[in-house]
Amino acid sequence: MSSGPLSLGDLPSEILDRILDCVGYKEAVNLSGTSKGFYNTLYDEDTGYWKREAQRVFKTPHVDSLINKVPWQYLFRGMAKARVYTWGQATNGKLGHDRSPPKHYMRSRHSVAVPFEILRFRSKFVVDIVAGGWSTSFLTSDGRVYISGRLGSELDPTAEIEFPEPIFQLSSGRGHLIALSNKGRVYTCVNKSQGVQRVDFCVTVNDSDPGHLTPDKIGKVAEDIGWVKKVVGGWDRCAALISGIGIVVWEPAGFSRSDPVCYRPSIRIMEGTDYLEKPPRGIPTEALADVQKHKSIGQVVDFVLGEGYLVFLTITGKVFAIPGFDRVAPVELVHFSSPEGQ
Amino acid sequence: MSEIKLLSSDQATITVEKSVAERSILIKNMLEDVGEVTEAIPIPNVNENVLKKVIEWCEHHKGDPPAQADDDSDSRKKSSDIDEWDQKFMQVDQEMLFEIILAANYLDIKPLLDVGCKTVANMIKGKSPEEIRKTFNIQNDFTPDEEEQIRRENEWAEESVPRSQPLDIDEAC
Repeated sequence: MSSGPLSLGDLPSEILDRILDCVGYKEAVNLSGTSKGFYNTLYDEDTGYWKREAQRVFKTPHVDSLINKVPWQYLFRGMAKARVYTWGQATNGKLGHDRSPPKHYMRSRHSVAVPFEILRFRSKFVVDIVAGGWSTSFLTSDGRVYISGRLGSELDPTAEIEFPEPIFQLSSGRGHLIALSNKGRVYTCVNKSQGVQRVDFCVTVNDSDPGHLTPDKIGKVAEDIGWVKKVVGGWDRCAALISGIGIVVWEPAGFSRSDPVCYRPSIRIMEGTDYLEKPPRGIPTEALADVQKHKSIGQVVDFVLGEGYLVFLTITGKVFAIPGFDRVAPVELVHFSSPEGQ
Repeated sequence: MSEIKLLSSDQATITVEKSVAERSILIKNMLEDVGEVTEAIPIPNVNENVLKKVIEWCEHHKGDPPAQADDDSDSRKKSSDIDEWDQKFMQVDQEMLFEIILAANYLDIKPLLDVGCKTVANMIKGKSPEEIRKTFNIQNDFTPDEEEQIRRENEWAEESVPRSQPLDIDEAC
């Protein structure tokens, strides 16, 4: 520590990182312009600043595949300037265009053949786009969701769908939207004029019950258990990957007068999707044995949901499918694989 | 109501309610490990002035609910989000502010560390590099050439949300 009065530059790096995380990248860039020390804090690869900031601002993990090829600071710069283009079938206003594409962009009256920019999103910092059957939804960096086209309602212009809290990840089924919030809560929407409903996976459980890990016990056993990692909307169903529970599938509920805010779905847990590489300490023995049973399948890292089937990738690099959503064991798709851990 | 004694780095003994001191996870864990203590617990990294200030904060916040497990994932809340009492509490000279932050870090009082970091963040927000230098008395050790190069390198951040940028008209092609 310097002998003079304590100054900003004397703070240890982990505290400086916290401060930078609070200010946001624009202000952090200004700080980096003040002196060599702060410049290095931002631009030395070891400090990991741009990686952290990219994960925060852009939320979606799909940038991970690029990290070995492009330094994070450049990747961040490129994405910060990203614009939104859509093209394809333009029925129901689902492409979200706020002006008519030029004639030579059109293949037919309802088909835009060339990517055309949505101007209103230039100031919105869109970080992800998901397509449904009759709608397109846009997730912004600050966790807001905008939707173009039809979602259970009559046709409206592009508008925000309001969620009670900032959204982290978004997915769309044919006629519904499913969203995961920063805090790990799940919301669905089947009709944009009726608004969103929270999904309540939890039922009260007796703390002394050592039983198996079921969604009833979400959050009861250990910190990491029960966290929703990813949500997917597939055709007419919803699915969520819940740590220690596995992939659960349910049908999105329509609006209910009895509880317009929340619903408890009837879920199905997909066999063999609950394995954890590193089960947390304090997990009941019986439950641990249950989780360990599917070691040969491995921990699920990603999944997609189709019409009546589920495909998932595990950390072992193997791809599995479950046809139907009944209690059926997963089948390995031997012709597909991914490098281990990706 | 049980009390414990803390010994600051400059050898001052401060008596404090146990439940207040236990806002510090470091002290809480220590007490759990050793059980009953009668002698003062040494806090070698924090002097009397700073320790008193930290205790003042702990006393005001002793009724707060314990930190949630998901606090960290949400630690990037708006930095302007500081409650009014805390804002007043943090109106101290910069050296004291940094000392409080270091003490909160050492004593493991996350909510106080958060308030401190947010206070500093708010002092950075909305300022140009020159203004930040003035605020924190930072020595500019760049050569004029380097400074110009960095200014150009950093221009992108200002343009990234191009509200005022003229729209290129695709129709023109």
